[in-house]
Amino acid sequence: MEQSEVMERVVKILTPWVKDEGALAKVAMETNILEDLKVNSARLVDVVIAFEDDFDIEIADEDVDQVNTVGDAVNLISGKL
Amino acid sequence: MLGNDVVDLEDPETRPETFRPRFDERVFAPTERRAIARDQDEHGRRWAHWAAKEAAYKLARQIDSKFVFSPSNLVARFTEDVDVASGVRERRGTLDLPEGLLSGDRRVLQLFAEERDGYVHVVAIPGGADRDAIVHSISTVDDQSRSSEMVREMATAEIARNLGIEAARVAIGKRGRVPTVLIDAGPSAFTISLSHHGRFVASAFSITSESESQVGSAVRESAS
Repeated sequence: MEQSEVMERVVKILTPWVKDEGALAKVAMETNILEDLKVNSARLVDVVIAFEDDFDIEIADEDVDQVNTVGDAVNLISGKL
Repeated sequence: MLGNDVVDLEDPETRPETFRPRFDERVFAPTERRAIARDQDEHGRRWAHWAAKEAAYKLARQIDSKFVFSPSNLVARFTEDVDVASGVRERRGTLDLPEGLLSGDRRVLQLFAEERDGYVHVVAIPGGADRDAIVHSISTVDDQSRSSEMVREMATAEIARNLGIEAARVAIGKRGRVPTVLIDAGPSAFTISLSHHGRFVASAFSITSESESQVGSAVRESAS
């Protein structure tokens, strides 16, 4: 799967929970999920579960802890496909 | 060292039906899921457990910057000794940090949960630490896009007030993801924890008094 497709699916999963529409409009690999998109921390756990279901992968807590940006999520998922 | 966390209980995003079915299994230990299901105030209890995990994690990160947030392994146990008076529900509890982070009974964290006015707030401090040495503040914000700035402003003002110094001398810094208190632009002996969610911002701070001997060996090893 192309990284651009992973990115597109990651952003689609995140979109309903984003509080800052402006940040979403210019979302990029370096966009911080909690600080820029203002997704809350409990929702981030739920989003990770959505990543697992959508991409049919497993993501350990140790990996989740390393996910700060959209790019971190894209790279983590891409590495598991 | 300490941690705190606030949850806006009226935020629509806190409703269980907005989460995937596997969320509870991933986040809460079986004992917690049973306790939540049994509680007459299931909603408040659920988020008290979450806030306890977050508060414990923030405390742990002050000791070990590599500490991983593994929520189902941070198991909050709130006692049945619940004080409900004039719209305020208080819960006391404990949470065991993994071995090695803190020595002896100190790793059994004390939890202080308060539920009122549409929020639940939890403070976590090491076992045996003095609760009265902790100052916490909670406030509402009109503009949630500024919550991150607002919580720092509130914490700065509260620290200055408690120390009897001008707020301009206090600033909130950062070491990795961990907020720190700066006095006159230099590091201080205070530890602080910040939180914001929905309409609320919360902070807690205390003077650091832990000696090196009280920090677990695993932490000293990871720092070396």
